[in-house]
Amino acid sequence: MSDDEALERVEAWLDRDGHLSEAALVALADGVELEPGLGAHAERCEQCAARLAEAALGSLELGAALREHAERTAGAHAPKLAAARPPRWALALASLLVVLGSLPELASGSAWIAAARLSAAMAKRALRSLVGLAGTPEAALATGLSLVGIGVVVALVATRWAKGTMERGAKHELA
Amino acid sequence: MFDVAMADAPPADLPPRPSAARELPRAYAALRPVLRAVAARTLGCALGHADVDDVVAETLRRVVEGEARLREGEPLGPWAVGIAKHVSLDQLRVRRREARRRQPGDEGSGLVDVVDPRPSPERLAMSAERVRALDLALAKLDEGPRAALVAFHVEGQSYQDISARLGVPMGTVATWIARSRKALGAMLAEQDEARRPS
Repeated sequence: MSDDEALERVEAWLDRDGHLSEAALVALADGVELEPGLGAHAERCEQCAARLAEAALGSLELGAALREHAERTAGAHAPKLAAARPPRWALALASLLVVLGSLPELASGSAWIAAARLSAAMAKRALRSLVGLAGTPEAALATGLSLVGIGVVVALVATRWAKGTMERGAKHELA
Repeated sequence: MFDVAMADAPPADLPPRPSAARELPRAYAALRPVLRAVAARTLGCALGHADVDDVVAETLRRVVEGEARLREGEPLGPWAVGIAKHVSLDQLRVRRREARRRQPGDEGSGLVDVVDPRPSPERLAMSAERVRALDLALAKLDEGPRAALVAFHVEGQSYQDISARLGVPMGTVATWIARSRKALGAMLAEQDEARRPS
């Protein structure tokens, strides 16, 4: 590049009065590398430095706003999978089909009788097993574990209840 | 204190950014004029003041060390300007503390009343109204200027990349960005004014 060309390139970034043009200030403010003389001028000229600082701080603020705007706009257009509702009409239709399909059997009464017989037989077997186990070490272990389980459940429920009562009391006092 | 000349050497212990790995030292050097300007403006002193040199050196040190933490799409220039502003405010805080210490009989409370440079939570949480206002303002810009502005601030593209992408000279990119910023600022101020209760 000849000296004339270099001078032309520098002058393209200058105002008529020899100070940096608006475009040069914006480019320097954004950290763009321009012709060497332009940066040097900004480091010497108080007037251009003041305008450069203004341009840089403006770029900083607007850039933050634009990035936040872009993030929020992208978020608003993102598919909301979590909020998607289940297809209620499909569930209702499936339930209706199940009920309609079971109606003949339920209406005849034989299904109810079969279910009642099965339940009775299962209860009878369970009772016999328990009676048979009574007095054995297995029964003692099972009873002990059950008591421990019941104790834990009661303790948890009681703690939550007490905590809820205290919080309600505190809120009442504050009110 | 950090030597400004360090900025000419590539950081040895930091992974280079893929897009600008070879341009980093030159990019740092290009930041010097704007960092000096912001430091002088924030400190309220002349460009040749020693404190300005200190702020620029410290800012460049932080930029070199923290450049890997730059968020995706965030341009280097404004990020470095933000650091310079914070370093300058720290410098002001030190100045005030020393001034108080020198005053006889006034030990002060030990608290320094420098305004927190970080944006307030209200400012950070951009309201839906502000988003709409920015939407409207962006829509009013011409296609080229808007594309250049978004490419720089949101996509983190360099002026050179934007120039190649949009097929215009770099001077035009700079002019578009300058005018867009001015127009957006004016439109947002106008909308703020319109919303303000009379």
